Amino acid sequence: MLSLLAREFNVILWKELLDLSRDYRIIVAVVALPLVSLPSLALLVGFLAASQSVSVLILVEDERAAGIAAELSKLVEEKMGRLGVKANITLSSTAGPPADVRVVIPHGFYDNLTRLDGQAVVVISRLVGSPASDIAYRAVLEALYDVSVTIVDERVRSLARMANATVDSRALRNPILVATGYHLAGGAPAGEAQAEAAFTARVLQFSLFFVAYPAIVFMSDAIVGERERRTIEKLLATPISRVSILAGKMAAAATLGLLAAVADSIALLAFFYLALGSLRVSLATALAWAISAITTIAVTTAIAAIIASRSETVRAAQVTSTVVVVVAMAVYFSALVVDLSKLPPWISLALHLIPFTHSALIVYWASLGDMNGLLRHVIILLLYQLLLTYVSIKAFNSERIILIR
Amino acid sequence: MKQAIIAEGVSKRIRGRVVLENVTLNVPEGRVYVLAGPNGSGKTTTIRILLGLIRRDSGRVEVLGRDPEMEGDVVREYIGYLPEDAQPYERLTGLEHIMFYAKLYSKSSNVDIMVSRAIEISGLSLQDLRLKAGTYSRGMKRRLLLALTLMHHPRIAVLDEPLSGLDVVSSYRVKRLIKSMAGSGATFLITTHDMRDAEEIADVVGLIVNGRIVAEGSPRELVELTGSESLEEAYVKLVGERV
Repeated sequence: MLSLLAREFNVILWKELLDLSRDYRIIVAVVALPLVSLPSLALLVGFLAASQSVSVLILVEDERAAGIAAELSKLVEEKMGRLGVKANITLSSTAGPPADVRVVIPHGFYDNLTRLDGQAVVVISRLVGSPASDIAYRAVLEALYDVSVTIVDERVRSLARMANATVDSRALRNPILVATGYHLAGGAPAGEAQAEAAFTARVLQFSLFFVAYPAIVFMSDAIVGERERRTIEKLLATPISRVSILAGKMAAAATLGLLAAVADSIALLAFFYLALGSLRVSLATALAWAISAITTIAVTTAIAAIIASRSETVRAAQVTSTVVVVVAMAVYFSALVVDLSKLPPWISLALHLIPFTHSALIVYWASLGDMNGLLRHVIILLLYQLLLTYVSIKAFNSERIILIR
Repeated sequence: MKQAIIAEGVSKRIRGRVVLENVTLNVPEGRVYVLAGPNGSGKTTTIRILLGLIRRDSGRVEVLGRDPEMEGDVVREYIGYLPEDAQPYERLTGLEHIMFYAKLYSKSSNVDIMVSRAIEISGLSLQDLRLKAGTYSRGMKRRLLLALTLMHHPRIAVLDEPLSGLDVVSSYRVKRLIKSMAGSGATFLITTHDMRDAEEIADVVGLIVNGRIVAEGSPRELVELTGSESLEEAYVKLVGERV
């Protein structure tokens, strides 16, 4: 009996994969496009950011502060260079041209700065709605901080001389030295590598969102699309069992969904790597992601099969399935910015009723090395999969599929 | 005579509308039974119930001695079904269709024999069979689908409007094939709205109108019953006033 079902399943899977593989546009759209587009997007954004010319005007009203202004200009240029942005800095004693950021060094600046207890004022004005002005503003603030540090050190040395004392200006500036480390949920110490791995896991959790949509598209097409193309009734009239037909279609949709998911995840990791410069994927996290992706695809195809069996058209099936995608997106996006394990019990309970929450938590616990947490959510997700597959088999009824209007 | 298909008092409502009402028909083994009637008369619903694709509300059905609702998978092993509006998979070649359906029926028949038979029935050249079905003409698609339906030498072939839209040559080939297979013991249940076709191929004709069988018999019996000169005239006399 099982070997017969397996044989039937293989025949349907072969036909479905053959049919899907000939749909070149779909393959390109869901597999090749993300692999090319996301890293390209990161490179493009980086290139455009580096290509923009950011202008800073340093307006020196206090003639005596010209030297400090020149030093400030050098520091701003250096900071922006480090960000990969070309700086166009103008030092002027008159109004000067419009700029993304205008720094005014007013009269009395030099006196206040060189007095032992003086407080000098700098007026900064930023261009509204300009990302370039944000970059320049950050660079100016950092440069001013560096200048302030130099001034403070000088003042400390003067005071020390007056008091005939030895003072460490760094200790005076920073009376509290912060040493930051990491630890795991159980309290054990962790390193920078583990912190990076945990961040990567969050990216991978988010990438699971891309698992849901292709699986829904393929599954809707496999059932409602076949009905629309007038091919399903003949198939249903063959001796092959409904379970084999549905299982073969689900497996084909899941296979392509998984391919799309792998492509999307690689593309997303490449995007973040190119944008942030550091990502770390451990073998355990990669395995957990694979388990999570496979079970999530199985759950999603089962949900899509239930919806497709009750939908009149592919469009109707996909529109209804959008609800599922939105729920998945909500969970996976939350996983990127919220710690799902630290929510109040009632929110946590509601979230745990959603299968996608468990797929996100599988990757989360794996990244922390908590195998118990990982296993718990794998088992819950597998139970969801069994339940939804059972419901989808019940919903895959030839009368409903043939007669639905 | 042994009956391949027995339907007694079959009724069916779909979305609250009575589609079949107390339908009774008997399809003798090795004969060509033509179910004729106007559009929406219940021909396709009758076929779908006989194949176990949809459930009847009441009545009894036996196909080769089995209830298709209870043993659909077994019954369908011995049946070839060509739905009226069936289409091939646009992205698969003719040969891939043949391989796919041969594997679906491989429990009861040899795949190689089925493939050879399908190629022969389709009348399509190997060159055409290597092309994707999406490139075929309507007639070629219909011939391919007919080949997929008859390749496993079914004990019962159920063809819903098999001659609809075919050119003269294709229609002639299909009718010749039906006669030839019926001559070698296969049972045919065919729907058509063309009484000239029915008269040419039918051993038994059942006239269905508004979900009811209004007359059943050989073309000659129906002609004599109505005092007509042809089955077409008999059909008009029996059915015309009811539609």
